[in-house]
This record gives sequence, structure tokens and C-alpha cells, in this order.
Amino acid sequence: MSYTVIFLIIGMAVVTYIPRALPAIVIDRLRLNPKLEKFLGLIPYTAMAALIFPGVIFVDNDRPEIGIVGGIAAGILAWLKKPVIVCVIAAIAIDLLLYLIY
Amino acid sequence: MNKRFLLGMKASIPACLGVIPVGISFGLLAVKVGLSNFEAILMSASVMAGAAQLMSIGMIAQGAAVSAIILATFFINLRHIVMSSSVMHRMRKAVLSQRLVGAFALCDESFAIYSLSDEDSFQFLLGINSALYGSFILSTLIGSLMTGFLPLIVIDSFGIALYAAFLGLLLPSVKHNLQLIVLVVGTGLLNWLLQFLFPPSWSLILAMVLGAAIGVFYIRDEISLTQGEEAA
Repeated sequence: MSYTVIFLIIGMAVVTYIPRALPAIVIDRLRLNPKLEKFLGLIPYTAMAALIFPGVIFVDNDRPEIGIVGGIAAGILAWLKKPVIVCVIAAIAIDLLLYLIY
Repeated sequence: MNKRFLLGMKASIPACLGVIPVGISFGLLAVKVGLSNFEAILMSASVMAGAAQLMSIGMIAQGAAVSAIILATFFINLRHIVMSSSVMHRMRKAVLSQRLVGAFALCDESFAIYSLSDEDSFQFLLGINSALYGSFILSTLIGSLMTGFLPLIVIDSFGIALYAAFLGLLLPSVKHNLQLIVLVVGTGLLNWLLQFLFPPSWSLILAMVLGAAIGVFYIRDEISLTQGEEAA
């Protein structure tokens, strides 16, 4: 077991638990500025966006089409509101096909 | 077993069905980037935040520093402070130790279920959290074991899985809001531009924080926290 990974897991657990636990201690409802609340609500969207692009193009450094085609397949299914696991399996299947072809 | 606890478990069944694919994807990808089965399960059991965990796997794959991953995790999970304060306000009759236990696995899904219910006891929240927590850990285990008996060429094709999972989480929750789509595309482009100036993991943190800050002023619609449920 790697110490770096354990340190990472502990760090992630601590920074995740603090915002969850703080209101449990400070029982009076935290009055956050509505703008700040909106900012916090937008973070998951912008985080996902930054995670996808441009990383998806470099899934296979030598073959950008692996990421692009797989990404488009997953994107279409996601747009049609298919479950996450369906998007994942379809993208893997398409890339597998590309790898098998050449 | 307590009736309210069972009521909470029952109320969370639909949400559990949504959590399971995320857990499987996480377990599978975690092992693919080099974590052991145990480490993958340990992360799900101690962090219990699907989007942040998937993000950490993406950052590990990019070779990001541990400090950058922890900082990004902090930002992506900071929104829970709002959800928790709303839940804890309704649960204020519970003692401190119960509130601290209830806060541990408090996620977007449990917040949504608890908030939309008339029941507001600690036992009810514990039932919701336990069902979601159990589903998440079990599905992480299943995902992490799946890599063990798949052929190598299939494993190679798993590189796309992380991005497919992100797309599957993000697109359904933005498709009905044009401004949100523009913001999301803009954030991706911003991240790409920032990568010329900063290492990838730091440009990611900058892009998500800047993107959300711009969104506060650019997006006119209310962004309710439960709306982000699917994106988290």
C-alpha cells in the first residue's frame, strides 16, 4: 500500500468532511450570501467541464480519435439522459472496436 | 430496527440506483490508474463523494500533485456546507454526536431526499445515508474487481471511461439551460488556454473556480443546489 495514496485519501476525507460537519457544530443556520451559494452550486458543473476538456483528446496520446470518437458516443447518450454506466460501456465498446480495427 | 431508519432506507432506493453506476465506474477506473482494490474502497468509505473521487482519479492519471488533488476536492465539495446547514437546521433536536454522524455521509442525494420529506429525525437521515453509503461501497468493490478478469485490450479501451462518466453526469443536468451550456463550454476552453500557462492540475482548479465565479454574474436563472444533484 502506498503512503502517498493513503495521505491523499486522508486529505480528501478531511477537506470533504469539514464543510459537511461545520453546520452540525454551528447549529444556527449559516446565512451564506446568495451569490456565494450560487458560486458553490456552479462548481460541480465547471469542475466536470474542465475535467472533460481538453483531457478527452489525450486519452491516447498517439491517437486523438480514440478520445474524440469515444467522447462523442458518450456525449450523445448522455444528452439522451442514458445512465452513466450506459455512457461508459458504450464509449469503451466503441474504442475497443477502434483498437481492434487497426 | 427503527421504523424511521427503515423509512429512510426505503426513500433512498431510487437514488441508490443512480449511485451504483458511479461507484462501479469509480472502482474500475481507480484500479486502472494504479490504486489497489483496498485503496479504492477505502476512498469511497472515507470520502463518499462520487464526483470528487472521479476527479481525483483523472488528476492522478495526469500526474497531479497530492496537494492539487486535495485542493480541487475541497472546492468541488464545498457546496455541501449549504446542504448540511439546511439539513442540520431541521435536525437541530438531535444531539451533537448524532449530527456529526449524520454529516459524515451527507451527499447531494441524501440532502435532496431529506429536504423533500416531511420526516426530519436523525434516524431517518441515518437510514438514507446508510443505504447510499452501502450502495456506493459495494458498487466500488464490484467495479474494482471487474478489472481483474477483463482482457488487456479491453482494459486499454477503459481510458475513455472516465470522460464518458463525466459526460454522463454533466450533460443531462445542463441540457435544458442554454446559459449553463455556454458556461460549461467556456470553462472547458478556459481550462485549455490556462494549460499553456500552468500545469494541468492547477489550470483545472483555476478554470473551475473562475468559471463558477463568472457564472454567478452571467447566469440569470437560480441555480438550486439540488439541480446539481446529477452533476455530483
